[in-house]
Amino acid sequence: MKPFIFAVLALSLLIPAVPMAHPGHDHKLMGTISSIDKNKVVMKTTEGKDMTFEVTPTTTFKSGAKRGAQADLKAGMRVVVNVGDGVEPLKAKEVQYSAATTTAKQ
Amino acid sequence: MRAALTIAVKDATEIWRDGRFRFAAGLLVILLIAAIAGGVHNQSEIARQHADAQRAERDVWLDKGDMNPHAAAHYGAFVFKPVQPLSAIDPGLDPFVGVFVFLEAHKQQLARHRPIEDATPTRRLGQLTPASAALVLLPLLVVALTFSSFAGERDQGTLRPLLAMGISRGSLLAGKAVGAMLPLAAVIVPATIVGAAILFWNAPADPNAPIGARAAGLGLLYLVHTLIWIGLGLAISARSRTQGAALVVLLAIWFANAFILPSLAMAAAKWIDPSPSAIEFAASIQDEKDSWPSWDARVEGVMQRFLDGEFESTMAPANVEVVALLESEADETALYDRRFAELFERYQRQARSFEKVGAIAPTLAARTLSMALAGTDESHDREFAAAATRYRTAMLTTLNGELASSGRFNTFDYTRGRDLWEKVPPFDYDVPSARWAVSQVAWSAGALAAWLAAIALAAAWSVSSMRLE
Repeated sequence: MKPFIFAVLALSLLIPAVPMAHPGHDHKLMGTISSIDKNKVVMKTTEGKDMTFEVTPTTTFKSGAKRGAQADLKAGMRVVVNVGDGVEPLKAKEVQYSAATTTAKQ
Repeated sequence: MRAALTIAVKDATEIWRDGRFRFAAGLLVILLIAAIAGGVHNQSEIARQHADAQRAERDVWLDKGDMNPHAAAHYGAFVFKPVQPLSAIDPGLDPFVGVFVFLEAHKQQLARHRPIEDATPTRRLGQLTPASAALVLLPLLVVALTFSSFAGERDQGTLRPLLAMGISRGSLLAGKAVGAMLPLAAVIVPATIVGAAILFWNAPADPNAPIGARAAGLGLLYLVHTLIWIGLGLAISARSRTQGAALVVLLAIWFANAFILPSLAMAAAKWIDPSPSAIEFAASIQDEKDSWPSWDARVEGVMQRFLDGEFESTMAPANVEVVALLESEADETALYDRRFAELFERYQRQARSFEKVGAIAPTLAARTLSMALAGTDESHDREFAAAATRYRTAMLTTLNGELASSGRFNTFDYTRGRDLWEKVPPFDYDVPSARWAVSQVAWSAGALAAWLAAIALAAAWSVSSMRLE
């Protein structure tokens, strides 16, 4: 039995300390637009928190499979925003949206 | 009654005076004590190693440093099957089933490391356990004690004069039965006393384990099994033409019970309900997982569902990938739960088939009950696997739940430390009660009771209708 115990303990110690199975890369956040002020967009996330992101000249927009436009964004619209590495201030790399206007509940 | 007692004392005295019996009985006492001492030592050693490994594993879990909660789920944890105190008496399936399970995210595993893999080649040939001594060797001694009970008297021409003295056939049967039991007591009583002392001094694997009812059940089981063999020996001795014929028939029945029927019953059970090999089982699960959407498709699906307005939960994490991860984990848990339930259901059906085939042989039914009472049968293995699965689910719920409720982006960069790892409690498995253990093998219990009643009737009928010359 001793070889077995040593094997188990060795196996425990050999397991990598931080196996990141799910790549962190870009953060894509879900929420509903609360307000828009020029390039600053405030959205309420699905967790019920307010979050502001900035639309930059390089931000792309997508509505379904089609290319979208910043002008389409409206309050109450559901969006999925790619905020890159998530460093403040948040800058949107891509905004996907739909016409659905269901507001996230508190 | 007095006549029965006289016959019993006379028979017991004659048996005791026989040097061959004293040699065989002495040998069996030594074997029984050696089997108990060996079983207790082996069990204590394994229990100590499991406890050490479980403690070391807990330390590794708590001291693994800061990391993402889901990464901690991938880091995983080992849980060890507690060694049952009465496995020293009947190790049952323990040497052939895994003793620990590695619990991790996204994957549920079968128990690993079967002790038989670690055994010496001679150990693989079989091991003398107290249960096998009680259920295989003791009946052989009973055969030696009973085959000539009536056939011998008939061969020597003393049966008719015995009955002519006014002794009833019932008294004769009772006297012969007690006459066989008394010499057996010379084997069983010292072995039981010494065995109990060895068990007590070595302390069971878990001193707080409620083993009283199980131990009493085992004692009763071995007693009933021995009585069945005494009845069988007397019935066949009464019906056989000569004591030689009685011995041959009894030895054939003993050999079939001890060696042939267990293999046949197992083969029949596997033929009726074939089970997949570990490799086939893992491959079938992988095949099903391979048919699922890829990770990117799953993430895309979450986004699309949200945008389409289907995804209403306000408690969901804002991070799309975390939602996809939680859904993927839930799907995988459901898949593994379903597949493992199917597998263990199949094992359970095999055990039921084994029991039913085993009803034709009292030793098979007794063996099934013995393993159940010792906590080393298929149903106890299934219970441990279910406890490990529940622990895994609780562990993942704690770790993934922490990630989901971490706030802000619920990112995979989020790290936690020992305070969170301590929220996952140590694995604690409570062995089911003796009543539960017997309820799992009710068929065998019923079969053994039926055997006892049938043998008692058969012995009474055989003696009442036996030829005198």
